[in-house]
Amino acid sequence: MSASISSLVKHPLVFRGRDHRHSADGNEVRLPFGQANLDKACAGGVPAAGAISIRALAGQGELQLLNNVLLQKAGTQKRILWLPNRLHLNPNWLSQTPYQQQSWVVNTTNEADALWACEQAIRSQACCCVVMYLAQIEPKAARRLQVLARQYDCLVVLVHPGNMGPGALPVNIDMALSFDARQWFVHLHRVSGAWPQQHIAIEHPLPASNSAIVNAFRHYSNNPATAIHEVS
Amino acid sequence: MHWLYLHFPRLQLDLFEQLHPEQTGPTVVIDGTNNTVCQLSAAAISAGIKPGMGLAEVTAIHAQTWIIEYSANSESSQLEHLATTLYAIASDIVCVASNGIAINLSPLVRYYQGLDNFMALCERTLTALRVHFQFGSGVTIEIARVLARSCVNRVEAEPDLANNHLKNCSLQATELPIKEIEQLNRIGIRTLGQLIALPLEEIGKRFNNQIITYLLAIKGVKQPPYSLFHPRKLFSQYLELPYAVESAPRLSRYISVVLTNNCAYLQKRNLATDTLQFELQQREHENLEFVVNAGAAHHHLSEWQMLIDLKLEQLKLDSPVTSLTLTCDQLVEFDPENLSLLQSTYSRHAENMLLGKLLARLGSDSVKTVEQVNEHRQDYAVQQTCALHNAPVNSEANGQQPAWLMVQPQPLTEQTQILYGPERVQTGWWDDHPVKRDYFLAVTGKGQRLWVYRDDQQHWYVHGYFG
Repeated sequence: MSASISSLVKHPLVFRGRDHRHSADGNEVRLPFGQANLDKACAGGVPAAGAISIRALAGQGELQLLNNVLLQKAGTQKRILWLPNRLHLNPNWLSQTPYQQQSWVVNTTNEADALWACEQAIRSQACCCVVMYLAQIEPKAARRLQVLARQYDCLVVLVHPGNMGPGALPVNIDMALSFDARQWFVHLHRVSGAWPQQHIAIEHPLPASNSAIVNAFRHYSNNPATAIHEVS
Repeated sequence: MHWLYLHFPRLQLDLFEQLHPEQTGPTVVIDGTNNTVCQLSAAAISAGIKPGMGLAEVTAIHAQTWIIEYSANSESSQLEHLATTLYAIASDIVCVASNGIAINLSPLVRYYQGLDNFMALCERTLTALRVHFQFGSGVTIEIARVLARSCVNRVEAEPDLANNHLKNCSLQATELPIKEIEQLNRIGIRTLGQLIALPLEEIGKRFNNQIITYLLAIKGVKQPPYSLFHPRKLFSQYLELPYAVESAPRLSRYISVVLTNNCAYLQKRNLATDTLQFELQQREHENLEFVVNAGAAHHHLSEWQMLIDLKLEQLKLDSPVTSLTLTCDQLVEFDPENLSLLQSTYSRHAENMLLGKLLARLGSDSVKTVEQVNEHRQDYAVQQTCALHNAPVNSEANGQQPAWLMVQPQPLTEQTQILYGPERVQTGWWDDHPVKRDYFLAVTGKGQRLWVYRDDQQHWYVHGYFG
């Protein structure tokens, strides 16, 4: 029995993930999103080493959702590599983030170069995190990045803007972000250490709103003592 | 004065054998001026080929002979490299013609406590460079040169003893013109001893002043003036390729030869560089120049080779390359970083290596650090992202900024709901690009957060996405 399993495991087409990064109590180190429902569904958060995939439309706030994870990875003081792949990252936005000093933005003209740069960044051990935007990625390429990222203790974030195709990628977490009426949801297609789940409700506030002004007007306009102008 | 002369009879062939160690067949170097063999390999000698044979004769003897055209530039460049290497062990060096180096032994005898010690070191240095050489010594460079060309391969402790060997040397080993040698042969003078025995007055009646000057040097009476060799303050080496190379990645093995010399040059002087400049001479097009940058200045051969290979993968040649030149002129003192033994997780070296790879493959402006751009018009901010190594700490916040910008704002075509704004931007009135816009955060039905603006014509545009 063990001999047959052994021969199966040695087959070149069989991928066997190796447990690599563990905390002192033997559990894999995970970085929480800061969203209670999502962290619970992900068995504590994002594994600190490996690849994750996010499918979201442009502007759905995928970086805002990942902000807590990126902040924790930035604590290692290693580089964060951005591979926007033909998109234009706003330098003013990045300069206002806490990990500005650690960030390198690498401009590539095609997806093959982006994948190559990502792999080099992982292998160099100079980067704690690589954020790469790709329209699509082959499962084979995703698995390659997953294995490398686990081996070299790096977090690879693959963002697929507009790609809502079926089928889970062989990465630690494969998730999709969606908006329905007034509620944001995360759909987990694949999670290492937990079962996939759909429709996980999350808080996903806007980066800015006029609500403070609107609320102030509502509050003070109804109070005759503080009302200066009549608000209809 | 006591001079050592090193004669390199087959410099171009030595270089070819270094570049193509797998080539074991007969190989000859042909002098293009008269189409005769001037250098030949051991295999060519075994095949029966002799120096001075014509091209047709060579191919008749052995049809598979590898033929290389003689290049004086290639030999000069190689000789300069040899002289630069020998400069580390000897001070007074003279490069003679394109294949000889003379070294003044007088100051070295005391420094090395004997000639044998220096000669052992010299022979070991030249053997390591994998060149064939012959040597001789004498009171003048001319005497040493004749003895070296006659394969004496001895250094006499007393320079006067060399005269005994000199007398037996053939006139062919001298620098006398062929016409004068034939003239002397006709009157029965075939060795240098016979020529030296003739009175100079009699020779002066029949030959010109140059011959007299040369004979005075051969007799050890007067040494003609030579300028001493001084190594360049920057590294530059020219390499003639044995055949035209059509594909850029195939240049790697040839570049590695000059690169090895470059790294050795830097290491011996405790120097480093972060820029190497290459010039490729193309057969049918203009020279192709390219630069390879590293993340930080260093002199490690394997790391430079890897960066160059990455660059060559991307390089497109217009026509086959016949020769190349490597120049390294941006030199800094090598200052290795002291790394902590226990800090194994992070290394500046790893970062520099990654940077070098990215620059080599993706281009010198592909990697950017971020800097807040002092410009409210985000159309210009996209093009003003700073270059590497110039990222200051960020300053004040510049309003609500989206993560992603569009290079050209697009008209807003879908229905959105405005949830934040306006933020008015009115600037650029002092240049030719005035802007007057009200920016808003708008959300689509799918939850996409758009950065939109309304211009003074009341037209709406999408300018970015909040990531």
